[in-house]
Amino acid sequence: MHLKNYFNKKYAFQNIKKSKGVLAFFLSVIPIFNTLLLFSIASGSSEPLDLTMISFLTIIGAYIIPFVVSLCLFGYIFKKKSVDFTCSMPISRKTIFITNTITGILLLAGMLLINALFITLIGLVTSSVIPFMMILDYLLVWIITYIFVFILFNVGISFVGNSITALIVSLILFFVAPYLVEYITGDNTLSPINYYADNTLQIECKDDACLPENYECYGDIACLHDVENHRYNVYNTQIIHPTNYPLPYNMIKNVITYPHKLVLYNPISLIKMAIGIIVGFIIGYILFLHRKMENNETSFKSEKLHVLVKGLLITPVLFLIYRAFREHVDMLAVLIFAIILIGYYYLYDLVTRKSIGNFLRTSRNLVCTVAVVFVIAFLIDEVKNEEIFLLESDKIDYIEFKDMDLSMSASQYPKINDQELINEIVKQTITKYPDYGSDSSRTGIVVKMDSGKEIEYTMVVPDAIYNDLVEKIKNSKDYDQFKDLEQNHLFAYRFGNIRHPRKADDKIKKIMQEAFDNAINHQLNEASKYSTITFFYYYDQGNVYTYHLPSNASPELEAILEEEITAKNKKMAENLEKKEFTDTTPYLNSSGNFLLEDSQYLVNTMQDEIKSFIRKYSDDKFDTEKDYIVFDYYIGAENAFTTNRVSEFLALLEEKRESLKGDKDYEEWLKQNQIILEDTSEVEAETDVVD
Amino acid sequence: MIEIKGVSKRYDKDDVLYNLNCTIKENCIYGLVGANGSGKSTLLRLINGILIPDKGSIKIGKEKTFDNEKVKQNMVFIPDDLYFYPSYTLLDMAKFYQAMYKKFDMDYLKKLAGHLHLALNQKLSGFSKGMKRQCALILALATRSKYMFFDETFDGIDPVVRNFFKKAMARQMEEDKTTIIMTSHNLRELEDICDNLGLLYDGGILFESDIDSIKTNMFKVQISLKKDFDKEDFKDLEVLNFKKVGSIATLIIKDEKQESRNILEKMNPIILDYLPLTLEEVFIYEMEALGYAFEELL
Repeated sequence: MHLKNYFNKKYAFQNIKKSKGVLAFFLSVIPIFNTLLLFSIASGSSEPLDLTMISFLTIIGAYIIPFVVSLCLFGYIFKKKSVDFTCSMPISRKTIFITNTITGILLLAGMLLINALFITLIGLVTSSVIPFMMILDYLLVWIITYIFVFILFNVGISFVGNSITALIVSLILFFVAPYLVEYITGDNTLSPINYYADNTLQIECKDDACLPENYECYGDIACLHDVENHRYNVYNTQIIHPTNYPLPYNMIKNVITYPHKLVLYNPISLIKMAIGIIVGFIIGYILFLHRKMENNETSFKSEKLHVLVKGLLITPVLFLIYRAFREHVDMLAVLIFAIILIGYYYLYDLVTRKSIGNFLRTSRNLVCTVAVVFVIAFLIDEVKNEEIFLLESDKIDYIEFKDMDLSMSASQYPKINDQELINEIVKQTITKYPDYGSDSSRTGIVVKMDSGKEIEYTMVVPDAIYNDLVEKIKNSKDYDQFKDLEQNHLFAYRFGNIRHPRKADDKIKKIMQEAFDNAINHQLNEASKYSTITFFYYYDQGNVYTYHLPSNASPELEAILEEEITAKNKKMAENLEKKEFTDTTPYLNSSGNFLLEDSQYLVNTMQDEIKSFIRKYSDDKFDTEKDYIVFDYYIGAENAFTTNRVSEFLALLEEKRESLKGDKDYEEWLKQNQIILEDTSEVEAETDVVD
Repeated sequence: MIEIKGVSKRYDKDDVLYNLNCTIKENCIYGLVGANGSGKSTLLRLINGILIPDKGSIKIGKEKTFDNEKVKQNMVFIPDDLYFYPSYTLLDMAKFYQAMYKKFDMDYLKKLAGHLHLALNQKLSGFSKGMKRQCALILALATRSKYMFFDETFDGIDPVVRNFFKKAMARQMEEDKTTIIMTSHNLRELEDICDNLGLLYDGGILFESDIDSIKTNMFKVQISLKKDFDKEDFKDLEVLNFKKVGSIATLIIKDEKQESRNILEKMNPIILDYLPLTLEEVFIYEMEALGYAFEELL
């Protein structure tokens, strides 16, 4: 079979050429503006960019650009004139469909590749470190998503008569279909909007090991009955249903429900979209081959199909209105929704068919649609009202124990798979301790079920039990696994007092692993509290995990930090002439506070003194164990001076302060900033001790 | 040969074409006439594979035309409502046709454009309606297709340019053995160029014939006899229409054997004139003979 029967490059070229203006505009928007945006973010950011950040404009573009590309390539089928022209050409429908599909895919993939290239360049020319794996994941996620959106738009385009209806059909495929699936299978309490609602759930212990040591029912018969069945209540939990739908739906849902959990890299979602691409292509192809080309410049020739599509688009809103009625929530919002919905229903014909339909017939259709949806919603409710969310202890996939000391990370925690430990945590969750008092510890718990659902709650237990639990986790195999960082995924590090992250090479990766092991295996001494913090960044499947360690957790790490700071100080001293330390407050690390209340004013008036100070001490070797101060004026990576000469600088400030006594501007500034000066001799004495 | 067998096409609830049968021989110009909405454009769209027939088949040679790239390499269609890509010039359009048609003759196009003073590099959106039609026609001619389909062929074109195209088409028929199918609701427009004519009415071909035989078999006669006379006096002839004003009668006679003159001369007429018939008149009388009122058809 000749390849030209599938892909006609001349036709593809001509098809692109005829829409070159529109295509060039839309396909260049993301690479240009994303690059500008990322450049400004990357230049000033002290944290590495993550997948969501580098995808910011790509996310918005996912809803627009594939549709524009689809319209440019297939839009001719919506006008009689262009249908006559194109379909009379010696090219088969099969070739047109396949050529346009491949062309669209190549255009979208090309745009994303160029954007990925620009992102890589940003990583190279700015101080931001972007791991190569993240670029690959960016391409994987967005190429699949864009193609998925493009293919589904093509499905819509293949059987409707105008672009607005194509958009509406696509919206039904993207949003209404998964919404309905979720409404039926998930938590339908105003689903999916009300995700912040606290829930009470019941834990069912299938193993004696997770039975509570103490549990009170206070005479409640239902509770006693539950206890007989080994079921125990847990309050204030948040149940998160898995969001494994295709990304276009997931993204909107995440924005509406929990914006802090926008997961772009979701393998299940990606697989679903990949399957959707294949299925969508086949359906679109069949529809296109059999398309009645006389169906154009209107929504559908079939009135029934027209009414069905019009009704389908409003079903999610009808479900929400039904739930709002049932739960007696904000009736004003319901009324507003209802007015919008009725307005939409009557205007739909005007928009899609350029005519106002028969009022009585439209009203009849609206009433029928509302009735059908309400009956379905009622039946779903009747079935689901019987259900109580039950957490069965033997169906737990893993538990995340959000203890900072265990993890050294605010974003990554040990995943506990060990059934004994799971039982222990469940047991402590449902056990009711009579008196917590002040000797209690609390930690966040995330229970991930085999079904993909997540349950979040806070566990509060007496300190002794908590410490015992932490100890058990520390000695578990799960924790051993957690400690073993896959060094390939560790991509950047940053010293707390150096603004920008650095790329981690193999040497630093090894040092980081050693420091990490030291930090989590041993109690660090008191001095560690005042040590500079080293961050390191770990990339895995779209997420950047941040760990923080005391810089003295490893001698090598400490040495590197000292070396870096010493070198940087010298560089700072060499390029001091054009620098002005305005609006900058040097800080004292051990206290974490500003040096003096008025140091901002003092620093602004002692530029020459500071420069002399920097020059004088720029050859000092920096010592992480000692207290230090940092002069940082917030531009660029090399614009900080870090020194252990704390007492010397304090003396300099004191001297300046003395000289300003009686100065009107100074007094005015103190007044404006509501600063009442204290005797600084105590601060000085304290600093001397540390020094 | 274009063979259309039992083709039906329905829009919504209306049968635009119903069980239409038609055969168009090679290397001729076939004129398709019919009133607005009679289905002329639909038939051309069906032949060109733009629309799918609900029933029936359309073949060129032995091959179906729908979605057949090989056959369509020899077919070109210019619809009544012209379409050009936005902001394209004639040359851009020619390049598009060149990409689509293997035999596209760019030199021929430039030559035709030169004759018609059509600027190759000017945007088509700035052209007048007639100039756009000229561009569409020269693009079609330059494809060197064996089958050309023109809907409302000369719409908006002045008589001089119309003649230019008629000659160009005739030359192409001679050189490439082209078959041309053109529609019009104006019979006079097709009269001097078509070899065959088909009248489309009520979803089917109502009447079909080649023009030469129609014209040579039918005569308009003005006659006056010494005696008083009426239609009965001409019962030996096949009279399609008889009108008498005063002593002069006008007869439309169908005379395949060319015997009418002898018969009439034997009647010793005072006046006997054979007048030429326009195609429109031929159609009117033929249709009347079939029992249709021609005004309803066109």
